[in-house]
Amino acid sequence: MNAEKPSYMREVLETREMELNMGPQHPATHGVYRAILTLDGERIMKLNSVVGYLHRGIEKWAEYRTYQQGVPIYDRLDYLGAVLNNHGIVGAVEKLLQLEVPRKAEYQRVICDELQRLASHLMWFATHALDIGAMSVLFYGVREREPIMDLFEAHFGQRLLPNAYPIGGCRLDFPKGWTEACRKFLKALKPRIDDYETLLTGNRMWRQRTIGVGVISKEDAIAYGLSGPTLRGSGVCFDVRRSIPYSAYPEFDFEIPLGTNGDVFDRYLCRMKEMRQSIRIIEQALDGMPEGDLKGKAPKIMRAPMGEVYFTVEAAKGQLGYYIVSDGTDKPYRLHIKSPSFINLQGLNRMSEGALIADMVAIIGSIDIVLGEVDR
Amino acid sequence: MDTLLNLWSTIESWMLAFPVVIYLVKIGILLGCVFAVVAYITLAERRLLGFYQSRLGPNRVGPLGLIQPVADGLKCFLKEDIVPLNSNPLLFRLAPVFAFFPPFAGFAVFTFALPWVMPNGRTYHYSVADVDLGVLFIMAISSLGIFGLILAGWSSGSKYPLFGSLRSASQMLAYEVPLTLSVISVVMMAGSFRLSDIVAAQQAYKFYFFIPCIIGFVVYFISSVAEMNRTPFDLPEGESEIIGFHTEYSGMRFAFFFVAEYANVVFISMLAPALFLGGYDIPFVNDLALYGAHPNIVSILGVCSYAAKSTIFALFVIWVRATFPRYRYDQLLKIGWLVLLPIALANLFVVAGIKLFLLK
Amino acid sequence: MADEKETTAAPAAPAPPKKGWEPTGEIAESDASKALLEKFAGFAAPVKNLAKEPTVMVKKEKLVEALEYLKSDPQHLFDYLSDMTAVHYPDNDKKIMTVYHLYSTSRKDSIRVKCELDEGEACPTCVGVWPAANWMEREAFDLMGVAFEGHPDLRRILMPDEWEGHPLRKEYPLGGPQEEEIRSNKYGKPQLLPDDLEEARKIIEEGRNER
Repeated sequence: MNAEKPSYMREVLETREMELNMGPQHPATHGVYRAILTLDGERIMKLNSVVGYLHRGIEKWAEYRTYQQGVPIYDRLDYLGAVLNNHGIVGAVEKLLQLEVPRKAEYQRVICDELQRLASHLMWFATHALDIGAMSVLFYGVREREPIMDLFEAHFGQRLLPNAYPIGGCRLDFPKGWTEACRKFLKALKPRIDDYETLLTGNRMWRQRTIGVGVISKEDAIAYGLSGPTLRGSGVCFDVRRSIPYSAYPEFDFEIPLGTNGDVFDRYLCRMKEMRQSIRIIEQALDGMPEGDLKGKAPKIMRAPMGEVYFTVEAAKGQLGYYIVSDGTDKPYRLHIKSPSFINLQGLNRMSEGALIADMVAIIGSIDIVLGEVDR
Repeated sequence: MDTLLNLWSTIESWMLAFPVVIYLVKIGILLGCVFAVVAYITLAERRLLGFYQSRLGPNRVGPLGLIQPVADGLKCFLKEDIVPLNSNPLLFRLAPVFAFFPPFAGFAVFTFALPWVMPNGRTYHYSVADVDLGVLFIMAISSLGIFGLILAGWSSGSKYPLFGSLRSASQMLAYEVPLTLSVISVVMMAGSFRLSDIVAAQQAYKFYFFIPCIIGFVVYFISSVAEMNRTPFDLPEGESEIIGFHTEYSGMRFAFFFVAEYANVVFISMLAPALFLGGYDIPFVNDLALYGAHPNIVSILGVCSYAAKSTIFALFVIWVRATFPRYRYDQLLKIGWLVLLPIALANLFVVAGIKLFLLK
Repeated sequence: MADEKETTAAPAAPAPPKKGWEPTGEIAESDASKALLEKFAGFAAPVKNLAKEPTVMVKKEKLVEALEYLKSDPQHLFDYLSDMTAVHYPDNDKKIMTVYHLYSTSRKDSIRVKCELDEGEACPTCVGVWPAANWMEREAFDLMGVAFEGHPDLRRILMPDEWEGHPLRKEYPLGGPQEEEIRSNKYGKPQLLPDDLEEARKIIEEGRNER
């Protein structure tokens, strides 16, 4: 360290590194995440992540509940993408019990999944922009998210944590007028996303704050196990909906937006484009909604044979995986949740090398972590 | 009427015997007005931000939320005042005062309109002290405010405020220079440091100085936003990054910083019309007195014109806050030193050229 | 909770001692698993699976080598560590099992690799193969008590640093170490205040509601 400084500085002035606790209570850490930063001025020399403040022992808890009893708790993992968590666990149990899900239920699931993805991305958009200082965007993002919550309330009876699907299918058909309301919302949302892109994408300040910040290369992104838009921002085409198809996703036509540089801006663009793709998928699903049974044939008492399955879905934050080990009873013997935020947060170390505090805030925002999911 | 006039002339004779009374009265009126404006600009900003952000803003206290500033002030007074154990208590208590007083002191040299003429022919100026070196005084006093921020950050004995004060110190250094240079171009045009002279010069030239000094005006706007620590240059506060130099403050001491920030907004947006937009001159009407208007009507209209111009400027500042994201520390300094400073210098030459060759 | 377990096990009392966990289903094979079995013959064995997911059990000695092979061999290119965790089987001979879910972003194929460990035995770390394994292994260590040999920074991650015990192990009670004390009413029964407000206020004022 000393050798790099000019001689006069060595003799007269002595600088030393400073430790700064960012979090657990900090507006930009999106929850109770704590980063111990070693700083040289405002430049980050070392980052030490501390997580676990929100650890609720969901995996342990799951071992004491039957498969059906456990379903609602997984909503609380990523509380901004509850429906997607739900799809993950329900899909994993269906895979374990080899249950057939009716096609209509799959379509309904796709619609609700994508609405939830939209809601999650809108919330990310709102908070990420606020982190970088664009205050108004917070209100725009939350405003657009509100109709989705209303749609959920109309369909599931709950807004944030709807406990969306039972194992084996879906509960109820969409209520009367729901489809029209959904279409209306999507129609209104499309031009607004364009508006927001005009507000930020072309904004010089936004570009200066995001381009070239928090870069992670394609190889590193894979090696660090990142997933979701955080991975795709680096140009890796890995979307579970395409790569390991599940539910009715193979039947829909949609693109997977990819970034090139792997910086904050690319991750931002990826999510913005993903929102448009979600709208596309929902519209296709609403158009092609098949007739038929919704509930499927799920047994009342679910006893799976001894064995194990691993089922992943593309949650809003990335690849969400449920690894279930069954011991022949109606409760999981071991249930492990691969939560995308947890793994993505690990990449923060790599992304924030040599960044400033302000960049750090932007990078955390661009990873889109939810601490409920990081700590489980 | 006559008795009133007689009463007034008695009061006047008393005041003339003790001229300091006139100043005290003027200061009282000025401070009252400024406090009222500062209180209501906070409300205006919150309502306007609400408008930009598709929400309502505070509209509950009184009609249209008009008593909201009073409620805010009361709330701050009633809150517990905390001095952290780790702080330097004396400086911690002094810092808000340092931040608070400069913008208010600066108002002393403004002239808000042409003089008011009494029926007995005596004139009263719309200024507390229209000194020769008004502009210099303003520049000197406005850079004092930064001491409050630096002291606040340093004396808190906490790391986040320290970052805030470090940032504000370097930001002040970077933006004070272009700000002063852009003001100097106006001084060059007018040939005087006195604010009323600058306005008079604009009236005499029959155009406002933002036309020849348009670059200077833009530089002035940008660097004054930076001086006010407002978005997109609100790094010393930077809510989402370092929370700000006033992290450790609470209650009334925090309110002091808050009021100081808005007093700065008012101050800067009242200075801008005087320098660039013709001050109390009424646009498109060269000299109302020519149309036979009473000088008192002219001066009242002048005050209105001045107020309208500074309101527009202040609204612009609020609009900027609603629109832009925040710059990063290094980018901010880069803009200050590498962009604004050369531009401000170039502007100086351009204005000098205009003054020398185009206007004799 | 513990009671329930016992009741389900009770009818099988005369039967031979409870057998450990044994996966059922059929052996699923893929090119990668075949190649792995071939290359590490004697150290790798196929595992049955319910959902036709190719699964291979690799011995601890060759685990890192096998993972490295799967990652870097141009035929397989399992470059993405999707998930890594550990499972505790107190009734098995080998009580700990670490599980790796690999995925190939270029070939869009996945495989599961497992490794059995004795109680207290350290698992070789695969942080050198995938940096992603860093936090996953820390989590397994934290919650399951599996030590990882050669891990650069093996600390607790989700639980507090000074925590005792590893919560996801089967002998660890759901309610935590104090579960027994809580259940045995050491702290007394929670007392409900009467509906009558006056009565309730009297009880609080006299301090009778304190246990």
